[in-house]
Amino acid sequence: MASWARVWAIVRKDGAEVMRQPGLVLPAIALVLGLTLPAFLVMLVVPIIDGESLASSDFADAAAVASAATPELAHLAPAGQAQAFLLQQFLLFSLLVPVLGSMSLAAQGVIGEKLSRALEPLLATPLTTIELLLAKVLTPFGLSMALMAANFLLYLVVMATWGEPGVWTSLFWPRTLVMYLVVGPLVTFTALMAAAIISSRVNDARTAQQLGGILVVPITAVFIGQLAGQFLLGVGALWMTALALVLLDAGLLWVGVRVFRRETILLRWK
Amino acid sequence: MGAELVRASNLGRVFGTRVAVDGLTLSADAGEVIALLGPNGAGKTTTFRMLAALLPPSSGEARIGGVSVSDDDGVGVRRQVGLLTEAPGLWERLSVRMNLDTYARLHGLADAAGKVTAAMRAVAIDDRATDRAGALSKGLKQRVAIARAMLHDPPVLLLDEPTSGLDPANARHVRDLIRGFRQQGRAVLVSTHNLTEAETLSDRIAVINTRLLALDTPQRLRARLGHGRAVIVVEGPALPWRHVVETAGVTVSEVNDSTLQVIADEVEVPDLVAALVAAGARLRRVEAHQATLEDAYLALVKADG
Repeated sequence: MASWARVWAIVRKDGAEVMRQPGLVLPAIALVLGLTLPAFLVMLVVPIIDGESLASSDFADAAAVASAATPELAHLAPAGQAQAFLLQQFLLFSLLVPVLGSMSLAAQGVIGEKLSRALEPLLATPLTTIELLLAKVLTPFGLSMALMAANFLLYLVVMATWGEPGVWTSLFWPRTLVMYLVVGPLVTFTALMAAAIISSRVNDARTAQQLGGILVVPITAVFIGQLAGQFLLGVGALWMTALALVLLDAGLLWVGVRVFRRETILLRWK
Repeated sequence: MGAELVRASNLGRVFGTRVAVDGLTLSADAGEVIALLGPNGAGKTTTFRMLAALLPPSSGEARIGGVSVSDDDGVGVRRQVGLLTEAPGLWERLSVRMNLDTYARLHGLADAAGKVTAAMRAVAIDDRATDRAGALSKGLKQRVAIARAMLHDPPVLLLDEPTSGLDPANARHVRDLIRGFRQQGRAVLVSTHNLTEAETLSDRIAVINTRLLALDTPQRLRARLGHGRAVIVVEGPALPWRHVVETAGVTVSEVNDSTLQVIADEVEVPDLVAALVAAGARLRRVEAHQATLEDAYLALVKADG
């Protein structure tokens, strides 16, 4: 049975270490901005520069087609429909925020202990390896969720202020909520477990981080598929994705528990 | 000495085909300091790791305070052991206090803040509590690591090369701490390459080279395995007196002009001098050198191949 007091002791320590490393936190913040700014450019700035309303763009036609499967779109004006359609495309990239933002932290969290030779004294305490694994995943997970919340708030504030009327409400559509509250945490857990497992075998945080690149591929594929096929990944598809992630996470947890053995950590983590 | 706190029985550990520790049997009592001597790769660190329940033994058994290292995933043993690892392994971006406070929480100590303060005071690092661990000198880092090892007040301390790389003042401070641990009734196992330190600090010395070669007090080890030497300077050439020495049953190691170097324990020297004088030799100087622990250690390791 895991002792949450011990897990919390490591999470607290890791959190304090992260706060003392601006080099780890600032890129994560830059990532939030980097992944949201293109959306604002396309949805808000380009129509102003072109002098053309989104209602008369190709996106309006795409939105009209998509509204067949997404009835919420029908309640918006044509320009709002196009903007909400675009917003829903870009929201997919919000899934990359916790994944990419926390990968470096997860990889550094484990490899950092190795490099500072702090693992052996740590393992000489009553801390169990499962508690160590949990702590090493929970710290970046917490930061990831904070980044995702920041990303959501940024969309909300900008769209409520400068977006077409009612478009901001699409941030509370079931599809969006399932993505932020279910798929986001699950995909983050996938990335962090994978990073923890990989970092137990390597000495370079970059190797573990590169795994993030692999997770970018399916998310980007869905983004392109949505635009090309003029569809929106519906709530049902997202729940199916969540189910697949639950199975994948269970598998990774199973592997992680076996990788995080005291003897393995001590002898192979050099 | 007090109750037996450490008991290793036929303890062994192999890594693949390599034997790291082979059939080690030793015990340590409360208030006893045992020094582990041995060449690099002799299995000292592996022994510590097994005793601290970090590595399971491949054979044999170890008990700390009566609890087997194999019980309950070693948690019960790790509560009773303070391990000082070869490298301090501090979190360098965090303060000294934060480092120790995290360990106090991991051990589930009540009044963690008070225990941390007491541990820092014990190793005289309390004035650096808010300093970043990475900003400390090597000696001070070692003190923090010792404070970490004793934080949960363990009855057994395993100290892996605690004075390695320290300047004389810091090394002395660490040795004084170890003496303090003995007075507090803890069982202390110290691995070291410093023979003088082992001799002055420990009640018994275990010489290890994968297996246990000897376990005894420093005095008995010296007497048992070391050989004293004597330098005898005579008037005139020394060579004619060689047969007198050998007749007395003493080995001559070197004859040079008027000097005889012989292998003899301190107790043999007076009889040897008497024999030489009786044979008509005129002695100008006699120097007796006690057998050293280094002699004993090297003899043991050499004999083991």
